[in-house]
Amino acid sequence: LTLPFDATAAAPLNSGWLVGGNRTPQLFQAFFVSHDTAPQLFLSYSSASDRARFRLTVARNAAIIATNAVYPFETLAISSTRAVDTLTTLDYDGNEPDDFARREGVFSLPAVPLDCGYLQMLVDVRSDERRVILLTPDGHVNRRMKLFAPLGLVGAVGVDRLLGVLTAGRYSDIVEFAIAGPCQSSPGPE
Amino acid sequence: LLTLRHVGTIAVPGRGHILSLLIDREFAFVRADSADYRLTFDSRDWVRLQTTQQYEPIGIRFGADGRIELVDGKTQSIIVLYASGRVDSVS
Repeated sequence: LTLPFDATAAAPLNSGWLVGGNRTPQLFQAFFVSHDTAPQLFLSYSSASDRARFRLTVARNAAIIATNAVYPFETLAISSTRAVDTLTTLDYDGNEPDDFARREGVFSLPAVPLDCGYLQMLVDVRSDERRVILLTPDGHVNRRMKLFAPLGLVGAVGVDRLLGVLTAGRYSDIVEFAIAGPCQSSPGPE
Repeated sequence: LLTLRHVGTIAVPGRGHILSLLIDREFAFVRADSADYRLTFDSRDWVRLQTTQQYEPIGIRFGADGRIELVDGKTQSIIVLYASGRVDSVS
């Protein structure tokens, strides 16, 4: 791949790939790459983070979701027409009394597309503390949950199952969660 | 309400990572730290694809013809793996 950066993220788009990487520590770019054509610049996004690390996943509507692993954890929706919406920025200002999101060592896993929106998980790699945030399709926080487990939720299967990785020493267990009412709204956080 | 079910166990020596993806209604994990690529489909069994190369996949998809296409962060190329064992690389 002849790109002006080291590719760090990729997701299938139509018959080719959307391949992204950092042009500068703040500037994330993605090119459309296919077997037939030269790479075409598809997206430039300047992050509020000075060390952005975006990952790409495919949403249910075939859009591409870009999630910044580091604070402020922007989640972008990228359509095949190159339209980019900033779905959310999980800065948690005023919402998290312990300022979890700003802790050193807290990262976001790639957003998991659901039928009713997205699930974003913040992981403190130095502990078992996690935040699970359920976002509406337009990026508003619907629910947030705190949990303590060496768990990463990495994908959805169908409409009612989540897949996660539980780490224990040198081994990891792949676990499947059957969800009851994952898209129901909750009156309050946690 | 969550109901937990154990699907499988994988070794993660060192800081090897797992790349995850969703293809249709099936889910697969790829070990990026091994010459073996272990792919899981549904929850019934492992499907193993042997390779002789070590890749660092940053994106992957399955073709309808059974081929697996991945974007390799290590070689910065697109790798196409066929069930026959043939490997194509697009740099």
